Amino acid sequence: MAARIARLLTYTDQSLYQGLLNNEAEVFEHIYIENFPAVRQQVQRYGGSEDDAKDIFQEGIIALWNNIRSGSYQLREGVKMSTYLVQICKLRWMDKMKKASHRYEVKQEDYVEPEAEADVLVNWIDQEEQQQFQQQFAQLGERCQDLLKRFYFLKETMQEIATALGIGDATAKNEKYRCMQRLKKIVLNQA
Amino acid sequence: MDEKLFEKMEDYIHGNLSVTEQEQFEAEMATDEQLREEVELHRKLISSVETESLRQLLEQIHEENFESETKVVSLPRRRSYFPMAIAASVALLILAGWWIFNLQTLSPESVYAAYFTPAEGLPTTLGYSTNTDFAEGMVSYKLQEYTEALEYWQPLLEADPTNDTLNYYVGVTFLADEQPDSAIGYLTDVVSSEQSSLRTSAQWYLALSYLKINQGEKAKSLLEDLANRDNPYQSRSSEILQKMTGT
Repeated sequence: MAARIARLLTYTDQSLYQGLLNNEAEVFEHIYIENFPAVRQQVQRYGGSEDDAKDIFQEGIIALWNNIRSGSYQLREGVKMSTYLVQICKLRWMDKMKKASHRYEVKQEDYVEPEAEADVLVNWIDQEEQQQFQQQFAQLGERCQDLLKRFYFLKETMQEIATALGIGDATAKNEKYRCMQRLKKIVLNQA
Repeated sequence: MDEKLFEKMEDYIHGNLSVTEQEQFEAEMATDEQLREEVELHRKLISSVETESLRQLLEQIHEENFESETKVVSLPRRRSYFPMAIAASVALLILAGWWIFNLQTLSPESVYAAYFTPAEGLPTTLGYSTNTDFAEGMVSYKLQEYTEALEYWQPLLEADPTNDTLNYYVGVTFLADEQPDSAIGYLTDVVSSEQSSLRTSAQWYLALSYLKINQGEKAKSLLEDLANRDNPYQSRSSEILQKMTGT
């Protein structure tokens, strides 16, 4: 626990960046706790609800994470990662409101699109798009969900997974194959 | 797609191939459109699994840190688990009390629910690798894909109707799939084959099948036999019998 608190204090943008690349849960939690209040404040200031803020913010973290992985987000001198994250969430919310209707008045001076940040909106995956896959994934048995999450997201090795599930390495490998085949079938059937 | 190609694709996507292997694979892709599409789809599936895992993680983080909060902007802090632990203990006590109370007045079906856990499968990499359909079915069974498991096993059983292993697993699969009516026939066959090593387990699951369809009397005679001889189900059987007689 002491180690964890120490790490919380010593996160630099560089270590956050690396942590996101490695899918570290603690890093996601740190970023979440540090930045959600600011995004919530922005969204609420422009007529959104607490739930709107949550949706936008979670989409924003996913966008940041995707951009780090694809290399389209790079750490920049003088721009903190948290500033970038809050900014893209704000932009996205403004964009959404603009498209939805003119129910909300967007002050012109607030709507500036710095180029680097605006790029992110092009590849933004919103909740609705994610929902379809969420439903497909939920159709797998719990064991498959657990196994695939461990392997592809938590980056556990097949040996670690085999030990955790109390099965042999070869069996774990075969189960992973079967689970992916099953997922493929579900996805293709609904395409 | 077979498992070998699948592993190759995985290695390719994760950058685990040697330079030569990678060049070879890319050359294959260049000429094989179907392979290209498979790789593309595979990448997409992986990315979707990751995104969904992240979404679940974020949801969990949000619940743990912001759900109960009203308007106060929170500072990063470590949560205290103590109040939660107390609440959980109280909930557990209530639950335990409720459970004990209910066990005393149980219908056969709720006894079933309290005692049923799916039968353990066999290890899938050792011993009987000569029969791959059986092994494939076993993997499906362990993944709780019961319909799929039956698709593998039922043809085998048709070809070899007196095989006690097949009868047993087809039976327990039907039961796990909540089709006790279908399970009963297969399990009865195993119970009546005197020399089968699966006989006792089959008897236990047969008793549970009868409980599930509320045929308490039939379950009772099977359980009485299990309670009276040394076997892994002995103590559970006498427990159920006590509850059924409403002590």
